Amino acid sequence: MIFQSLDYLIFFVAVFTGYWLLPHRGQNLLLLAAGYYFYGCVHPWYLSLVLLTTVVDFTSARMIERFPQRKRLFLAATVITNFGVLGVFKYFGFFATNISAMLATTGWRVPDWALHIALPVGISFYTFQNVAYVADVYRGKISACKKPLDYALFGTFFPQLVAGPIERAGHLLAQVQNSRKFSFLQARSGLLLIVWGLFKKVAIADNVAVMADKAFGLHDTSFAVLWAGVFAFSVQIYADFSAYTDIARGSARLLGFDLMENFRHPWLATSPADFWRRWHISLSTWLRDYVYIPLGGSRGSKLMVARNLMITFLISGLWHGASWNFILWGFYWGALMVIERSFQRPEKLENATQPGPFAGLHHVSAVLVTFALTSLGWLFFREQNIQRIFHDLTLSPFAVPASHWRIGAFFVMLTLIYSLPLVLHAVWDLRIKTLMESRQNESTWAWTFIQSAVGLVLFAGILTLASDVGSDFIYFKF
Amino acid sequence: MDNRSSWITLAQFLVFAAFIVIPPALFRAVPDTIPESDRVNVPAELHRIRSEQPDFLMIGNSMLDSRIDFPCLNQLSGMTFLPVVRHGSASAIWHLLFKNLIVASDVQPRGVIIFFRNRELTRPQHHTSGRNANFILGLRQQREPVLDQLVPSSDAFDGSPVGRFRTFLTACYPMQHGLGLDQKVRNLAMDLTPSDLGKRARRAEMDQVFAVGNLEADAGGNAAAQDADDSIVGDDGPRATRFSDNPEESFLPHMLDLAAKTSIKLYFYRVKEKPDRDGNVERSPNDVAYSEKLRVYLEKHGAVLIDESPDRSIPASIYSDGTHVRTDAMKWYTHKFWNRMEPILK
Repeated sequence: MIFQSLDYLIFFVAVFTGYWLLPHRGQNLLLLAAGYYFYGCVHPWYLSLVLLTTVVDFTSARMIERFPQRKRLFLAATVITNFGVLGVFKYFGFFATNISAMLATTGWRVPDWALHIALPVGISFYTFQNVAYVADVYRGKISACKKPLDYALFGTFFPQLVAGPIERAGHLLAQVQNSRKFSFLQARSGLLLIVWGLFKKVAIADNVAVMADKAFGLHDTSFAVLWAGVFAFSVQIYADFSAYTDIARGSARLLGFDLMENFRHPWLATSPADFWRRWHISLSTWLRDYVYIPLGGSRGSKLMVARNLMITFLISGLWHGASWNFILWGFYWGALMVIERSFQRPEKLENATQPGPFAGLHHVSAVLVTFALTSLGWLFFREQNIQRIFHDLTLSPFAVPASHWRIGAFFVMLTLIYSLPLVLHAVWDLRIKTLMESRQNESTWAWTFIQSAVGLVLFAGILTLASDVGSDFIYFKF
Repeated sequence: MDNRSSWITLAQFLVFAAFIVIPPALFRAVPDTIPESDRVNVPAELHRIRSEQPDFLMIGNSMLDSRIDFPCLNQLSGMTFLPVVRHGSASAIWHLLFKNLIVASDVQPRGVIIFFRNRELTRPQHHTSGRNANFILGLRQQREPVLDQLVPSSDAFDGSPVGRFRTFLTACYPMQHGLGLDQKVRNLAMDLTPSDLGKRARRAEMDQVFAVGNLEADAGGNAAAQDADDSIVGDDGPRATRFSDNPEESFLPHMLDLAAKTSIKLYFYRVKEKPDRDGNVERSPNDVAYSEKLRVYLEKHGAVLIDESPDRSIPASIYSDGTHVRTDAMKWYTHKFWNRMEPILK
């Protein structure tokens, strides 16, 4: 069941209607059933994996509190179970294929079934979420959940089940355990988020995807067409993934929940580190808290910090997919972070808030450079064939036919036009909304009227600009 | 919710939501009725097939009736070849034509020949929207599990309460592609990137650059780029749809299964697109591999693939555009077709 389908609309309306008629316990039970149904529509048999990890994690957390002297054992049980399941379904085929290729000369061959294990949708997301819960209990940050149904709901909350945001127990589980009250302001913003998310997906991402697909699909591509395609993909992946998050957050708000922000205008980033504070925030903070900091974080020698950064980003690459291009992507980002850190002067941090005479120009330059570096990374992300990646990197800008320059320019212009709503949204979010909220109470009818007008325009945009090319959300693959 | 203020708050929200969702339903700009040209008269078609009692039926889109002169073919062969043509159609409609017309007619032909171009056979969602969706609606039966599985976004009628509600929502909120806003956006982009070439020439240039022979079969795991006839600046028809290279993920397994059950032999005829002056269509290694993979698959399941793509004796001069044959060349082509097919069919 995909968000941009009538099936989801019907499903959600049914859940929403029943939900607000029920008391707190009933609401949780309904959401739990809805979560299992939602996931069951995708993979009925893989519900067993969700149930397995739910039982193991709930039990481990309780045991950690009951038997603190053995808490390492229970944490290990959670880590082994969760990452074991993830490893089998996501990485076994990759390693088997590569080992098989290496041993091909000896005649040893991996059975075909081992190479084609289907990946359960969302497994990377809920695995990280569950492990984080048990780790937080282990560290004493939160108490173990005592009600299995509450924990089960935390693990199968359908708006964020298949593609995040990766929530923390301290945030989401607390909301599960507390009663929710219907709030007009929360529901209003939730509906707008859903409509905005749908618009981003069907009117922006899917339209821009056609250009990216054409550019990456060309057998004998050129510098101009390829990098125009990379630009298109940069817009596509942001619009696509942030759309999913918005629909997830909007759906959750309509049910009285607040999910964490996952994107904060990443194209305004002024450095690689700043980019990761704005992009897929739930994953980057998870990696920071459960990989980078336990490894030592920024403490220790420069070499140790570099090691910690590289390991963290290699894990990030692997999280995205079991293939060499994602490992390369992770390595690339790790290297960027190491390089940035090595150039960072301590006094730069002190003077960070003191504008110089060329501060504006410096800021714009930093944004453009960061965007260019990020786009290069998207080449590794999108192009799954390693040989083609290296071929693409060697394309010369001096050997481009005139037709390809024309096509490249057209692709870039069309992508810019489709990006306009994203730019307008950034202006709205960072300037206009703040200004209006400071002058008007959020609950005034005038403000509500403005928001309904915006919603209407977006909905009309969905109906008139939606691409003929339907596609799944990109992050469903992870 | 357990108090009056909560219910009032919910009512306020529903009013807010109504302001967003109701106006588009009131001002939708799509005709309520299905045009005559998009309707299919199934009983009449069944009658036509039963009354003709053809030796062979031929299914296809304009690839078929722009190439085959049927009176000529019938005379050459001494047999009856009956066309079942729907312009702009692809495998989803061919599956329905085969199942709901040919098999349903109980006529036992010697075979059914399906004309197709490039990778239409393995693209289940290709050409299933817009006018084709109307045609599918008229041709489908109430329960079409294969169609609904492979083309989940089809405007399919489902008689269940949920299905009826879905149909109601689709009627209230049809996609407004008829307004052509996406085409206007593309034209704007073209205007803003000036060139010494006109728009038509630039579109033709893009079609040429992204011709199917220039594309990878597995580029980035997304082969939507491989549809040469759906240029992103094209004015005609829907744009590229989701694409799968894998016969197993198409309508083929179901058609082949049905053909086996009804003892109907299936022949899949892949037409050659407009070649260069030497008579060749530039075929990428991936296209050659695709054709071979398809052949192996079809032969394994008792069908036959005839791919005329490598035939250098078909010159560029018989083509009117990249895919259709000139009317005055149809007889020549029909002779060629029969020469190729006679040893196979007889």
